[in-house]
Amino acid sequence: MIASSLGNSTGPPASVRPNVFRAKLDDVRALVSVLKAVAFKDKANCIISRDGMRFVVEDSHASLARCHLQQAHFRDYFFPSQHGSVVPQTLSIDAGGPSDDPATLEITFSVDIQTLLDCLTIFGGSSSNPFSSPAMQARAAELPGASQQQQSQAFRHPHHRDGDEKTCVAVRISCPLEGNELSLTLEEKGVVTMCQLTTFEPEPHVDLHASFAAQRIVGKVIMKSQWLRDAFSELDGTSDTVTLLVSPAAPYFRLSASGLAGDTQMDYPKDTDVVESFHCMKTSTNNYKYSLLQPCLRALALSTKSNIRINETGFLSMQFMVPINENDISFVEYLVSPLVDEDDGNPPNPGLAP
Amino acid sequence: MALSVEKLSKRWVLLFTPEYVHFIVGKSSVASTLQMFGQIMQDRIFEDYDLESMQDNKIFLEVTAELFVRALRSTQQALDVKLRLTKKDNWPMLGLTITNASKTGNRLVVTQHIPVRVIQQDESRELVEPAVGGQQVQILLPPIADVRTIVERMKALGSHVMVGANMNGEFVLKVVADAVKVETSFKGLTNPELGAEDGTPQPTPTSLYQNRRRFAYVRVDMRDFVRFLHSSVVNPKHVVCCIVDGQNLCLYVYLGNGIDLDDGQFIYYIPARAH
Repeated sequence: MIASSLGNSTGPPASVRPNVFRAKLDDVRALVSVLKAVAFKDKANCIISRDGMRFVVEDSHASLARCHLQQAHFRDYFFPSQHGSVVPQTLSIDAGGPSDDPATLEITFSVDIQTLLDCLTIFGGSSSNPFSSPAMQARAAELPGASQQQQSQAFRHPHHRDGDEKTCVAVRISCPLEGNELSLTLEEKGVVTMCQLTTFEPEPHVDLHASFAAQRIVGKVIMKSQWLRDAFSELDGTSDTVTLLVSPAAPYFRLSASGLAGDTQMDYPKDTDVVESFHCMKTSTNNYKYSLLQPCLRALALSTKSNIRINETGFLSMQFMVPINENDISFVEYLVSPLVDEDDGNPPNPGLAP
Repeated sequence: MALSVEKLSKRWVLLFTPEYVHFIVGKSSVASTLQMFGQIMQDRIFEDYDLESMQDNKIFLEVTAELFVRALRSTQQALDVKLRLTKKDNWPMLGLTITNASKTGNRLVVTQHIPVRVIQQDESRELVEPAVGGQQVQILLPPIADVRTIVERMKALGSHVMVGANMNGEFVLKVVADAVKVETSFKGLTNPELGAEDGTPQPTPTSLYQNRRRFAYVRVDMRDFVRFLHSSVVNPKHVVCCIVDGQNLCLYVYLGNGIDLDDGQFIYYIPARAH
């Protein structure tokens, strides 16, 4: 537990400063896990609300990743309400515009993800996933390009909360309503680290979620992440595009790519050993830029299950279930827009075989 | 020990005196200004020791780390090792004669020659420990491996690190950069009293640190500090950190089981960098 003297060193206690968001996480690895899953760019937008903390990373307006740590996962979570203080209009920066309703109040800023991860892992914990089952770590180590560190960590027993090997690192997070600075206090075995990160204006993100939700979903597959990982690892890394086909008839679900080394194609059967659930209204074939899909491998490596959905326009949503401690999970989502056929602006003719 | 020094520099100086074997990484041989002076009583390493020199009974030799360490590796399972300064084709060499037992039980004698450069008197005069003045704070560091984990993370955040301590058992590491400030504090550490060379305890310097909570800080180059950490973690023993506020950082790594000068010590000098 964090010594009580700590609370005083960062300023007056909360009762005197109601306009500060404060939260405490018993095990920092929960946050590290979800952050690592989306850490493929320098900066992320961080959105803190009554419900929890979200991080969103966008790539060239064509793909977006987001992760969420719900307030229920925190030991303490205090999100200030506005009453009693003068609230400037600039406070809620989300698209809805300024609002007096505390339910929509959010603190939004942009932060350097790698710096944040370095601070959160100050007491150790590495570039590979700090918290997952040994089986998953072993699988992550088998991925092409898995680092030496990942491979050696795969053989080490994962850390448990009440475990003998390593004590948990707890973290206290605080951020004023203005969102101009993010403070972290981490503690392990009596050693205390305090971090203050500069925050930046949140980057405007294209609302890909709206684009996705605007059209009906034509295909939905839930499968064990292991299979998807295997499929991706088979794909030629030199490919520019990856093609995904979903169909109510055979081959049902097909992942293919062609690169310098040749063409690869993986078909998945509809049976429930591999695929937990499968719904498809009509055949849809879409191409995606490999470079936009590749970052999701990060989240894929950390997850146990994947939920893949494609809408009418070929927008791809992948939701990965990531364990954040022994009992809880969180979802990390990637949205990728399809490559549009340049000739007529329509998605490729689904009737053509890939 | 050779492994520790190898992490600091590609070339270093071995000094043999009648009582000690010294390892020196001095100003001239290192790009940065981190210096290290290590010594160990020769009888801890050698059974027979014979030394004669015109230079005041001191022999200074400059060696190349890689060759030295590689040669030493072959002594690990040896029955007998002899180290001799010889000449081969007019080049000075450290001859290492190693007697090993082969699998069949016969004796195998292997000789390795490590080329060295004998340092003459005028050059060796520069290899002295830097003068350390001013009142200092002494503190016994927490386990070096823990410190290293933290500084490895800090390395990504800034180019300099502030090292601070007080006489109240507190040790602090701080990195400040444009976008982030990180400070780690350790409490409950021991402040040893450093004695004179012969082991008699000296009275604690008065005035500045009468207030035990007062901190002394020094700002050093992150890479120097990381090199020290990599070097001392090879043979982790007690490390006493001495800070003269704003001036320098000395780290004494004791090789024995207690803070006993006689067992040998490595002293690292890391200079302060201005803001």
